Amino acid sequence: MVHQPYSSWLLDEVKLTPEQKFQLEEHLLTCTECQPVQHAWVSVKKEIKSSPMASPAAGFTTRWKAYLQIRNSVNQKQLAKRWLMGLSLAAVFTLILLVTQIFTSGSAFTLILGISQAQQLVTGLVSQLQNVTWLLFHNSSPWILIVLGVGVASWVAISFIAGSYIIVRARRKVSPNHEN
Amino acid sequence: MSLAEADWLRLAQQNDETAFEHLVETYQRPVFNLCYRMLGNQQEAEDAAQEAFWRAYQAIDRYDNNRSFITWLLSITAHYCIDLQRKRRLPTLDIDLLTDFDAPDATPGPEAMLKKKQDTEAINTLLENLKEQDRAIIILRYWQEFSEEEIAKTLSLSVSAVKSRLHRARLLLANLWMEEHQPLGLERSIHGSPTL
Repeated sequence: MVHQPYSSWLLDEVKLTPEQKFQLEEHLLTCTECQPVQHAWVSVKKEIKSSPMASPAAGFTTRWKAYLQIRNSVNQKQLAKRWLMGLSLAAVFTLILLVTQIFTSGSAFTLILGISQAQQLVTGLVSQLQNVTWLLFHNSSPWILIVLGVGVASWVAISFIAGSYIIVRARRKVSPNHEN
Repeated sequence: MSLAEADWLRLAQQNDETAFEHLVETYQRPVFNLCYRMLGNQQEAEDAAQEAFWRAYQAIDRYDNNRSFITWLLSITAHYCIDLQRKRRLPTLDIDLLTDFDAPDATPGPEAMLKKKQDTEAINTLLENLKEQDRAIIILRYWQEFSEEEIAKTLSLSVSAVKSRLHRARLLLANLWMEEHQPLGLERSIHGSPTL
């Protein structure tokens, strides 16, 4: 026996036309497979409808407030843990680099020599930068210096405001006792 | 959503904890019910509902105000419960703890309470046999009275997927019911006739 589309009509809760309803009833009178399914589904639906929406025990919101505090505290600890782990990893990485340098260059003396050379290079660069700045201040027109100064000051101010905003937002989010 | 609720939501998005507490107070029942029907245990449902609200609290900045809040909230809850069930794979039912249901107007007698307990037990036993996502679909459809489109949005599925899963879940529930209620000696396959 063909069970389609009757099976879909039974279980898909589609709105049937009077003709479709008649066809379905005719089919159910003769079909020994669809009829029990229909009866069973009607019973299940009745059972579901008679089953109430479950409610939590009284005081759920109070318990949630306590839960919020616990989760905030856990979050802060996790954040601190992540920072500590990051710093530790950076320290370990630096140590590995140093050890590798010592082993590949043959001696600690080479390493110290390298560090000294790097320091000299940095000192030279700073000195050149000072020279450039001195030349810029003495040879440029005051307007260029004003524009440059305003630009640098704006950049510093924007960075400071953005940084403060991010920190305040993060603190407000994790602060359990925050009140507006 | 009423205007007052929209205001609470807006305040909650501005990190107002009191406003979010108001939302917890308002939506605790549907969230708890979904957790309870998904997990079948009062204590686990309480924990899951608390966690679902915490997740919503963390993500409230990203909530799109054009979307229904209850759909968004139940989406978080359903996904959390589905993940929990998949991780645990241990459906449990604690019948002794089923005491906090909505009380009817008149105090029910022991017989009515027993009947209610038995009904809940029967329904939860049936639901336990469904796959996590199918169970969530049935709960949202019949307890929350969501449309197929709303269920699709809540569970991030297509409408056609929701329709086919609903059909499959209903057929399985009907077959389980028949198996449970038919006379001995006339047992039938859980999945019923392949022709259906």
